[in-house]
Amino acid sequence: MLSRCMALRLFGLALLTLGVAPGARADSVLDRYDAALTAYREGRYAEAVAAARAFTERDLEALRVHWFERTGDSAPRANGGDPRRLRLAAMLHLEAAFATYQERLNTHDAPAPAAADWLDDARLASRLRPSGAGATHLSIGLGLVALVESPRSPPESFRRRWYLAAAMHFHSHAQTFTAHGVLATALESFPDDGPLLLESGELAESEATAGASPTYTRMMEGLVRAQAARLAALAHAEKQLRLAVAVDDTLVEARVRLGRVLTEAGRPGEAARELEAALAAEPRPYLVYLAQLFLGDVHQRGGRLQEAVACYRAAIDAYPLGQAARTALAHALHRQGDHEAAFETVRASLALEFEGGRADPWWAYGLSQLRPFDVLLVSLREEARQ
Amino acid sequence: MKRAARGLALVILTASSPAAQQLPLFRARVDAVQVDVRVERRGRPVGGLTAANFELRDAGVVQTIEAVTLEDVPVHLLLVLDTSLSVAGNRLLMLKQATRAAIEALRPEDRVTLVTFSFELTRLVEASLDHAGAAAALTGLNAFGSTSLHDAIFNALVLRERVPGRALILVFSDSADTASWLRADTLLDDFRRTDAVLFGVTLRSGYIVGSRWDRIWAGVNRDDEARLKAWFRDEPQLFRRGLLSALAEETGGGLYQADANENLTKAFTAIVEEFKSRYLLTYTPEGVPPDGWHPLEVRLRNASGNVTARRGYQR
Repeated sequence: MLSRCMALRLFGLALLTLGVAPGARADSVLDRYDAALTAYREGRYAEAVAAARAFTERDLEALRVHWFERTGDSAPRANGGDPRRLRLAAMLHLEAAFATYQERLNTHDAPAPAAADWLDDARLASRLRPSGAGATHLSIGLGLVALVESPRSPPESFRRRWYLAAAMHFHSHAQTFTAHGVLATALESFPDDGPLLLESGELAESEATAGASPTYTRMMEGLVRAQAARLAALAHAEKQLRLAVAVDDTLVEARVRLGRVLTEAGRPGEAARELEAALAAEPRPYLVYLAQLFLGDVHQRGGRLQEAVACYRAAIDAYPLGQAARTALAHALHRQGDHEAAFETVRASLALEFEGGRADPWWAYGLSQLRPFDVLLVSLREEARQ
Repeated sequence: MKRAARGLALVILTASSPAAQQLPLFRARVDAVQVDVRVERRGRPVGGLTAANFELRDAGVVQTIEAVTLEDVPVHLLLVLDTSLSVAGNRLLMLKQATRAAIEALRPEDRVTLVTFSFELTRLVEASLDHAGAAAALTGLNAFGSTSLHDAIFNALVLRERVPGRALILVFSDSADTASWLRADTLLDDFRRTDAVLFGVTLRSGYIVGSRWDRIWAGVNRDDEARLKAWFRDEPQLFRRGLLSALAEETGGGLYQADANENLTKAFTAIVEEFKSRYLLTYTPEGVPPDGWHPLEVRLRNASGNVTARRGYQR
């Protein structure tokens, strides 16, 4: 088995060696590149990204050569990049990768991770099989951002947030394999970063439970493998979320997710303890909503319908637009035999109006969208432009 | 299946219900069970059968059939329509057209409920006899977001309870669930406790348009489908794509895979027409355990044809 470092290095090299031989049009490419960076610096993001996406694979290879020199298996180093230009370019390539992957939504050719791949981040990363211009942009971005700041950079630093934004975006757009690769690289440098650990746990949780994950749409390979992969993903999620809670106990979302993961893993007692601890921290309403919803599920699975109903009602009180909790409540009432109350609950739920961008937190739960990605992206853009 | 004491169909069998009083062929007794049965020969419904033509076994015990009805009982059509992002565009137009056609195929005494879902669930129409109004409610429908298939089906199941008559739940979805709270196995269990019949309509080349998933699904052969079905029974949450097929089988309904958007209308109207021509067998269970799973077998006597009925019911 490859060592952790070697596997990550292979991941990086696989990304960095994409493309074709260096082209002869480097000068004109660099002129266009400078123009794209200028557009980005001036806040003309769409124009900048469009310009970046117009680069061919040959152009991108020329840019890679421009930025990096490789000597043997040593890490790449930047050619003449000042930190400001590095940040700018890292953001440009990241957003170009977002836009390119967006077009290829759900078309990733990488195989689903096998059960053994969940043993550690490095093995997951080694499963990544990037291809196309999006992967090349991402590879350059990863290379650049690693040069912006050292691994000793403080919490909330540009580099850490860049990794987080990349992972959140790819996760929310069903590019889970790419998100795994980014996170594995990030956690190699920042193994105790709470938000990165939370995202990593969340991603594994999605793989184990959510329909949005592509993993289980490819399960024509057999039931045993599917079950093994699911259990392994749950174990990975538990590990990452426990680490996140350990390094930052203010990350209530990590505790809420841990509660759900433990429920799915068939450990309701531990799940209830985590969820109750999350509620004791008096988090924001959407987290109260999710914690009560999950606690209700623990009770319902245990046959305690009355307690489940109470939790679902508490969830709705915390977040009245929660349609998932209303469905859960109707279901529990129905199982209790209170069909009239179930009927009225359904009627009220189906009459909800979701306006002004308000939505049920459950809908975003499996797609890395509980935390404000847009705010994160704006802050990175602004920092890159300074 | 229904059992008034605890099942979903209490309101149907309660004699005090005004609507139930309009259904003289029903025996309004608390333990009565009704089984919706399709009889076809060479693809066409077989008419003219009586109670004497059916043999029904409940948990292996032959039962006395008390009533058989055909086209006498109003239908409550509950349309549960996927309006998630993958349905946007031409597919949505075709879905609206198919829905209008299904509504037009109803008789004046039949009711219609319309529930749409993306991640968000919406009721457009509830148990309405105003068919024109129901069709008009489709105007302005948009497609967006992910797919709360399980939750939508459960909500429809609850909505059918106050309405007398036979319930036909017609579900259209071009993808698997991605956003529901309820799990597939939970839903399957719910349907074992009801008498509603579910028909599913999917698109053979459905799921996410233009993606690799399309190609995977398009390449699925019969063996794969059979495996998927078997896996769904063991791990319904992992293999949720098998849900509609399982629900259809459980309830005695069916699954249509339209091979193009244009064929949706054909599928929708065929389902409604078929449902109108089914038999409703009513009996009071005798010699069977009061609780638990009751497997059902329905056969023909002195008649030929293929019989489709629900697999059983849970008490």
